[in-house]
Amino acid sequence: MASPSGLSRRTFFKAGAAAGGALLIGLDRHRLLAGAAAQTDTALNAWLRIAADETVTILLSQAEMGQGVSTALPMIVAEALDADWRTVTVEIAPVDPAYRLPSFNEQTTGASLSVRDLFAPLSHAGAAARAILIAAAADHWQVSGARCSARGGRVHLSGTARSLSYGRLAAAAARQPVPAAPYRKPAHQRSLLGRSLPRLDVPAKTDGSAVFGIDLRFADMLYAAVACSPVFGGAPAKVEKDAALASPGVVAVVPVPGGVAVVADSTWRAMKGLEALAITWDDGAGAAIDDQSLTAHLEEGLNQPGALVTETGRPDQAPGERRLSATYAVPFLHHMTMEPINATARIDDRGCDLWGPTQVPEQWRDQAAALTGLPPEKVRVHVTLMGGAFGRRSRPDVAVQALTVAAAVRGRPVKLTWSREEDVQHGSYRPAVMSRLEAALDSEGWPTVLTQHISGASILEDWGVLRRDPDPMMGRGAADLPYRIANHRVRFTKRNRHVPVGVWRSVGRSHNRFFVEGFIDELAHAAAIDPYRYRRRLLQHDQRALRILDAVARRIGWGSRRKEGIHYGIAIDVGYGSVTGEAVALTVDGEKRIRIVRIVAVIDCGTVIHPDSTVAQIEGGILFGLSAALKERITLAEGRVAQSNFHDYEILTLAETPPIDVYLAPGGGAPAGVGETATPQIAPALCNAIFAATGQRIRSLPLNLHGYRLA
Amino acid sequence: MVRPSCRERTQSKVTMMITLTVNGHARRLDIEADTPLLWALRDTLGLTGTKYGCGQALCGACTVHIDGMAMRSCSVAIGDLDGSAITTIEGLSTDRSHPVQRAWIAGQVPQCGYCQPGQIMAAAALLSESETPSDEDIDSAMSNLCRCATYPRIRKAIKAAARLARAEA
Repeated sequence: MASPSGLSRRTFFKAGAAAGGALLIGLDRHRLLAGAAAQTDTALNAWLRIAADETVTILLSQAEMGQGVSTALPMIVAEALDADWRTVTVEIAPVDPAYRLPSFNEQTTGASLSVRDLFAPLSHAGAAARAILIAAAADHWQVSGARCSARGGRVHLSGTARSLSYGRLAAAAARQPVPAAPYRKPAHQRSLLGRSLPRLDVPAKTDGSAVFGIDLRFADMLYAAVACSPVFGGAPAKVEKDAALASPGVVAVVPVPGGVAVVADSTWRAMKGLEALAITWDDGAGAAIDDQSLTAHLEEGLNQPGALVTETGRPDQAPGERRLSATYAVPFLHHMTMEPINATARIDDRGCDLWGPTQVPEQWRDQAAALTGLPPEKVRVHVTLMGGAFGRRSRPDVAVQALTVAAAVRGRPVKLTWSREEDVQHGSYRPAVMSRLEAALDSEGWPTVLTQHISGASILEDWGVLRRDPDPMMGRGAADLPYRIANHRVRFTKRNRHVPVGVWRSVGRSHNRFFVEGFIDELAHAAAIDPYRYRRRLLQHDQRALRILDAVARRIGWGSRRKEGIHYGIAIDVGYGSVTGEAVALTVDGEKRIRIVRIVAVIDCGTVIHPDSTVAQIEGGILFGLSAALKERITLAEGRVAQSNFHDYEILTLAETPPIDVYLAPGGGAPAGVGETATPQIAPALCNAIFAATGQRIRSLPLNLHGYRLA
Repeated sequence: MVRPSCRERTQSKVTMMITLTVNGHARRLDIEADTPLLWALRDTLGLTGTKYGCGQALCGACTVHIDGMAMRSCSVAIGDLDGSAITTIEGLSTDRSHPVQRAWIAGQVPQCGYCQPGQIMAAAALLSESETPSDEDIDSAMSNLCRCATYPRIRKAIKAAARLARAEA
């Protein structure tokens, strides 16, 4: 796994050849930028170019946010192409229909879809390029293609020592007809997939040379700081600019939707200029909203009919000896990406460039076209590395701000950076959600019916794209119940207020799996049946899920150390095409101090592309969910978010991190989702273990509200 | 409602000349004295390896070494640094050869990577003070935040870096 400490000759994250302009991004200090290779590069399809010097440039359409796509996706192409991995370099793709994800018909990164959606198209692209390279060689040698084979970046003529490199063949290959169904190498001949190749982005992330959106620098760039209405939906009523304009380095004060930006010749001077602005806010109707009214609104939602998400069997006629009911609740959550929100834009008569950390480059492009009136072809979007995203960077709010400021300082690029405070108070929050669950048990304790009502803001409604109730995102993890229960119903009541909501790692699953895995545990205890065995029985129909559940229980040593005061909780999720089970072993003392002895996770994600990166995503996903379960909560008072920085929205620290063991148990088949699969289960597994230890059932988060904290 | 100022800092509208050493090179800056070192590094000197995460010394993304000590550069004013020697992530080595960097690459520590320069600078400072850091030493010294939660790998890599450093000492 180690790679030499010397700098690789490989460039990582070159700006695309189409970027043009005075682009000074340098991720590899020893390789010149974009355009240098253009003359000797041959594009064989939308996904790859091969240069005379053997460099294989693979286009990356997905945002590298730490999940490792910038290595995994090129691996898929390189495998099918039979390239020499040492010659591969990665370039950010421009916005183009060729790069749209089939599931969304949009160029976007999210929903743990990058590998899942692109495995087939990328394999095809690599295989098609391989086929025309072979055809070019066969042509050159005047032999049948059947006498040629390809591996390691060369085409070989069987029975001879003759071979030709891809670099030599590329130009001729581009003139060959592309087969619609190129030969696909069988899985057992793979040499890259399934190996933990050193990640291409890691070295630059250890020496400060990796360029994130916030790091962009251009020769004539200006810097902007922005303040938007602290109360959502409010706007500036009066702005006194004189002091700001007199502040060192400030060149302009520019209104943006719902706020004001100050433009200066450095970030610090822009922030100081912003402080010097005297803004009188018109808070609007939102000022009346606080946690009490939001909670009441959610509760009221549970008593309304709502919209039907799913129904099987006849829930209202289901028999049952015992009836149980419980209400669960979770708060608004923030993403707290380490890199605050930012975007860089330049507008002039020739066109528009937008740079930055975005999950939705096509939306950025469309916003820019709409705002500038330019045709889409004249808008170029350059996606950078990002310091975390977790769903936050799929809202294009900052792009609109950057474009507005760029229009005002026409011709010069402007980098607009949010302060941490602005970021925390203008999030795209995971909605606060409440849910009432009801079940009936038969005489042996098995559920005959499970009904669930969910009450919370609809993300799609907030985004203005909800076509028909109910919002499918809000029922995920509830409607798609992994357990076999004959009668099942989920209803959802949309409770949108003024708080902007969005997708937070695992989205609907982040709350619904907490509700369901907690309630199923309640049913198990009501039936006096071990919660692992209870789930086993309800998963009998799903061998794949059963296998993972059993593996988790075995790996944690389920129940084995109860005599030592160690208690166990378990939760499973079937989502993103994968099955992921988690178990927690812990102790709780008399003062509600929790010592997590161990967390175990087992995942079946079909086929593993990059094992180590997969393990890293599961570790990170668990800890992301653990942080929220223990201590995260956004609260509102007088219509505005009360938190502002890491001191009052605390996240998990290194010292608080328990031992985690991740086991990959791929069951074969197409590669399935990974990035969000591990986040939903940790809260219920943890709370289920706390119940086992204390008899206290936790139905709302975070745990510190109930006095629980880590020892 | 008038938006309150979110920071109390000494108002300084006049620039002053500061001389300091950054990564071994003498630098003269004509800059407002209250400018945080973080922003002088990033915007004035173009050293963007040191990151802005919070501006309040809460997250550690801005960690640099000032006269050999790990400090959070967002909360140190450039005016207080005349004559100081600063090392940023860019100056830790010329070729990723510092034991911490080698261990970080071998252990594939970074995910998004944004917090990692600060983590690495904090870890390097820890190792310069402690040859064999214990888990408690690591807990104490490594309060830098990581949202991707690469923490398990950070802990392992610090121990691996310590072994490398000892072997080469």
